[in-house]
Amino acid sequence: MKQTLRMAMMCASALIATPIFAEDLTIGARTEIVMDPHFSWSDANTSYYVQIYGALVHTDENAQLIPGLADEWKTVSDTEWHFHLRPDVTFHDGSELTSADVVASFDRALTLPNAANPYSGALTGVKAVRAVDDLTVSVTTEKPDPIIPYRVAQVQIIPAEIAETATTEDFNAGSVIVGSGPYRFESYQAGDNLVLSRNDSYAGAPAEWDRVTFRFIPDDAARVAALLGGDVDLIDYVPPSFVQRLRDSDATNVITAPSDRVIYLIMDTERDSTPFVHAKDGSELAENPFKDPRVREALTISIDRGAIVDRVMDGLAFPAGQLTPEGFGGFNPGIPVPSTDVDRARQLLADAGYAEGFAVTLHCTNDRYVNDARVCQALGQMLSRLGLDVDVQTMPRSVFFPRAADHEGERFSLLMLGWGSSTSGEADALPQGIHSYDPERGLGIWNLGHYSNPKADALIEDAMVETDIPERHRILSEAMEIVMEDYAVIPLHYQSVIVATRSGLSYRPWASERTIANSAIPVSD
Amino acid sequence: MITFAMRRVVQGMLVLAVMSVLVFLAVYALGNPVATLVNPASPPAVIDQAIKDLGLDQPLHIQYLRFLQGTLQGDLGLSYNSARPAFDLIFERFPATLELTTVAMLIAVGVGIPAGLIAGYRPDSVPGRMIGGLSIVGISLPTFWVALMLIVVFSIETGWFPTGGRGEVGTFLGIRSSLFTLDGLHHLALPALNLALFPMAMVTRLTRAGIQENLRENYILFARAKGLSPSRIIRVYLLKSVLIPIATVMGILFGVLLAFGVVTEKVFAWPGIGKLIIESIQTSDRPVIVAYLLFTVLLFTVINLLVDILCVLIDPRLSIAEAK
Repeated sequence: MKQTLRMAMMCASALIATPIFAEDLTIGARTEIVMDPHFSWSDANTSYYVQIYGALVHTDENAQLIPGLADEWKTVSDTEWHFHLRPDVTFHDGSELTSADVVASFDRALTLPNAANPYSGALTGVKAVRAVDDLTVSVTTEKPDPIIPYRVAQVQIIPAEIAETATTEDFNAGSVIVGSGPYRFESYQAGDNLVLSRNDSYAGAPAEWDRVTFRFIPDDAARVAALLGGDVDLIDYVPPSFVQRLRDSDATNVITAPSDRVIYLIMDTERDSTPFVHAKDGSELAENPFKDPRVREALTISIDRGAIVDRVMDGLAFPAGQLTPEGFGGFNPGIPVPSTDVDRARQLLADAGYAEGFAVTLHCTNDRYVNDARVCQALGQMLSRLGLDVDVQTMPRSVFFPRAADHEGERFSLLMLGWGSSTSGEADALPQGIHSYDPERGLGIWNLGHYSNPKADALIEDAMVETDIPERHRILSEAMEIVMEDYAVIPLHYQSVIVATRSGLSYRPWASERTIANSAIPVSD
Repeated sequence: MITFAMRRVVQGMLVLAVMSVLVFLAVYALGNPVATLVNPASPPAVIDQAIKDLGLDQPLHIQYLRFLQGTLQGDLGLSYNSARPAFDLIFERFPATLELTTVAMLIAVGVGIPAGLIAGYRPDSVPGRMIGGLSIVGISLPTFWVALMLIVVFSIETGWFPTGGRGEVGTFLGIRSSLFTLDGLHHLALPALNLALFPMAMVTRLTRAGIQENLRENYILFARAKGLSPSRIIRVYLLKSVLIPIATVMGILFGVLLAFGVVTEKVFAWPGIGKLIIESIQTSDRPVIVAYLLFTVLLFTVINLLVDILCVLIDPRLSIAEAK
C-alpha cells in the first residue's frame, strides 16, 4: 500500500509541472565532477571543489585573492610563507581544522598515485609544507615565488585522517567526502548528477540554497533544452548560437561577461623548414616565412577581429591585442587591438619576398574552444585574401594536443590555441607560452612555435621572482609589449562566459568560467 | 547443438583476441593521452612523471603485454579521468543502456510486426500504403534530429516529458532499474521512442517483405484452397517463416543499439555507456575506450550466439543443417 502511495505521489509530482522553491537549485552543468579532490587538477574540477571543500586561499569572480581557510598570509623570508588558519573552521564531520589537516592534504595532493593530471603541477617549486603551530602552516619554495598564494589556492583541504588513508575509490564511493565548504555532499550518480546540501555550520558567507543538484549534460543542445523545458534552473557554457533564442524567451535570462581565456594563433618561428608551409606548387620554400616579422605582421593585420566577433561569435567575444584580458596582471593598456589593413598586409608580404604568397595548413581543435572550427574557417578565408593558399584542418582535442604539444615530434606550423589566466591571476601565458622553450627550467612548455626573444625571456624571468606585486605586473606588461611588437603570436579574441537562468534568477559570472551555486541569486522581476 | 555453441564460443574468443590488438594499436596511434589530460600550466617534470606512472613511456609491445596480462586477470586498467576500474565504469552504466535498449526494442517489435503484417497482407489498402511510406521516413530520418524534435515538441512546448536524465531508480527483485518507478518511466519514454524509431521501421519493412514473398508460395495457396481461416494461415504458417530473418536482424540491431546508442544517450543526457564512451573519447581516456570496445565485441558474440539458438528453436530444421 505504502509503495502504491509513493508511486502515486511520484506520478503526481512528475506530471504536474514541479513548482520551483527558492531553496532548491538545479544546475545543468557541462562538465562532470571527478570525485577525488586531489586526483585531477583542472578549473572545471576546482569549480566543484571550492563549494564542498575549501583551500587556504580563495579567488573571487575576477581571479583576485581573498581569504579562505587562512585569514592572513605573509612572507617570512624570500622562500618561506606563513599561512595563518582561521580558528573557527569545522569540517562537515564536526572536527576542527588544524594545520595537521593542511599538511596531510598537501601530502596527498603531491603523492596520489596513478594521476594523469596531478596536483604536483600546481605546486611547482614547493619544497615543503609543514605545521609551525596548530594554526600556522609554513610553505617553503626552492626559489622566490610570488604566486604561491595562487598555487595553494588549488589544493583542497580535507581532515588529516581521511587524507592519510582514503583512496580515490573511497571518494568515488562517496564515503569520505568531508570538507569545510558552504555545501556538504549528499549523493553522486556517475554520469548523471551530484547533489549537495547546505552546511549550516559554515564559517564564511552562508550557502544561498538548501539543496543544489548538478545535472551533468555535456551536450550543448540538450543543456539548452533542459533549461527551456524547465528541468533545470541554470546552465553553464551556453553556446553563442543559442543566446538569441534564450534572450527572446520570457522564461529565461542570459548573463554574459568576458572570460579570462584568450584565443590566439601560434606560428612556427624556429625551424628553417616548417612541415606545413610550402610554395603554392608544392615545392619547398628557401626559408620558413614565419621567421620574418613582416610576414607575422601581415597575418596579424589581415585578420578582421570585428568580423569574427560579430559573425562567428554572435557578438559574444572581445577583440584581443595581447595575451591577457584587462584586470589581470601583465595587461598593458598601451597595446592596441590590431586594426585590419589588407593592402598593407599584402605590401608587407611582398617586401618579405612572398608577393606570390605561399601554401600553409592551419590546424585547430573542433571541440575545445567556443566555435573553434568556425573561427578557423573564417581565419582561413581572411588569410587567403592575402594570396595565401590556406588549408584549414580541424580535429578533436584528443588528436590535436598530442600532435601539437610533442616538442620532439613534427609539430604544426600554424595553429590556434586558447589560454586562461585565472590560475595565477596574471599573464602566465608569458612564462608558459612565450618564454623560449626550456624544459630544464619548466619554461615555455606551451610555446608550441618555439618563439624565442632573449629580451622578453630576461624580463619574464625577472618577473617570476619579483615579489613586489605592482613591480612584477609592470615588468610583465613591458614583456607583453616587446613580444606583441615583434608579433610573436597573433591574439584574436577573449571568449565570453555565458550562463543562462530561468527568469527570477540572476548569476554573478566568473572570469574563470566557474559554475558556483552561491553566485546564483533569486531576483524579483 | 552443444558442439555448435562451443564452436561459436571459440570463434568469439579469437575475434576478441584480434580485436584487442587492433583496438590497442588504433588507440595508441592517437598519441600521448597525457597531452590532452594534463593541466596546461603543469611543468614538464610533472608531465614526465605522469607519463611514467601510467606506463606510457614504455614501447608499444610492452604496453600491450602489460595490458594483456591485466586483462587475463580481469583488470582492464584504471580510468585516467577518475581512477576507477574501467570495467566497473562500464558495468555501472550498462543497466541504464540495457533498459533503454530493451524498451526501445519492445516498442519496435510490438509496433513493427503488426504494422508489417498489415502492410504485407493488404499492400494496396490505405493503412498498408501509409505504413509503407512511414517506414521509409523512419529509416531515413537522422536520430539526432528526431531526438531534438521530440524534445522541442514534447518537453519544451507542451512540458509533458522531461528533457533528459534517467529519473528515479527503483528496486524490484534485487534489480535496480528506472522501469520500476513512474518517474523513471516518465524519463524513459522519449529516449526509448527515439531509439526505437529505426528498428521499428526496419522490422516493419522486413515483415512486410517477408509476408509478400511468402503469400505467393504454393503452401499458402494450398492452405487457402484447403479453406483455412486467414488468421490461422498468418499465425501458424506465415509468421513462422517470416520470423527467422527478423530475429536475426533484430539480434544484430539490438547489439548495435546497445553499443552505439550514443546519439540518443547524448542528446537525452542518459547516463548509459554511450554517454560514457563519447566522453572518454573526448578526453583520451584510453583504458575506458579499450575496455568499452572489447565489451562491445563480447556483447555481439553473445547476442549472435543467442540469435542462432533462437533461430533453431523457431525452425528445428536449422539444427539438422548445422549438425552436418
